[in-house]
Amino acid sequence: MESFLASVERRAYRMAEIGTGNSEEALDIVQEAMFGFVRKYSTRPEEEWRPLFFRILQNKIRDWHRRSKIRKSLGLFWPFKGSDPENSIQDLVDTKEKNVLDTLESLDSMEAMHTAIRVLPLRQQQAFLLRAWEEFSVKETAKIMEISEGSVKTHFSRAVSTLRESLKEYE
Amino acid sequence: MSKDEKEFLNFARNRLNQGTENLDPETRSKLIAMRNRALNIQENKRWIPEWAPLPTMGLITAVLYLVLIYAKPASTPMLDTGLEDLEILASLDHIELYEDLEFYEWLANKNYDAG
Repeated sequence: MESFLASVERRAYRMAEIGTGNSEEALDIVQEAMFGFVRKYSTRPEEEWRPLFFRILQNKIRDWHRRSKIRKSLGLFWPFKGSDPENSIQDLVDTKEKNVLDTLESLDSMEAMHTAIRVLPLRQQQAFLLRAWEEFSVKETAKIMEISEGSVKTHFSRAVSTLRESLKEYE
Repeated sequence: MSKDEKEFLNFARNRLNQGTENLDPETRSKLIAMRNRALNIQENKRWIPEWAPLPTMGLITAVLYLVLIYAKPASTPMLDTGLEDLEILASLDHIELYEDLEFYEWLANKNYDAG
């Protein structure tokens, strides 16, 4: 178990960091995913661990997005929206995302890759990272994301096309 | 998948791998600490099976029930004794009087017999 967690923890952190745009939130998500995985699935056969772990992780990232949306929509009715630190962080992430394509040119290729993926819609992000980085099959990715195989193909191909366009100068 | 697309995916994978190698030491140590906490959870889980809480709770409830039923008659006189002691302690009389009570009783009986 230790070597398995050690083999996935950094990639899991990067995925969560790309998904949330916030390193502290990313660490919390990875921690929740690790704990949830160990509690529920540590007795399952080892060959099932990787897809199960990434399914938990992706669910946690999606939950984080749902909570952020709720916080944002509640924030519209909150008179002191600006003083809430969580809203401030989200606003900062949003502003960053809006200007991201303009600033890609000034970044090195690694940072540019992270930033370009971060701008993608969440489903495209997940399909791309699971297929391209983790090298899961379409079937496995569909199971992890809990969507159809057709949807995986669509999200993945849209993600690749957008990223190639954004990062053509780095290729 | 076209050759261009394969090349792009290789490029993307390399950049993403580079991103995990370049993690700062603070984040790395936080991840290691998390991993250790997760392994502790697994270790504790191994010693306590998932089904364990149910029979344990049942056993505790049964023991408490038995204790309440069988301990009740025995506890009544103890409670009385306790209250008597409390009365003695709370009274304004000297404690020596109660300690020598037997002697005074004996003395009174002796005087009565003699008289």
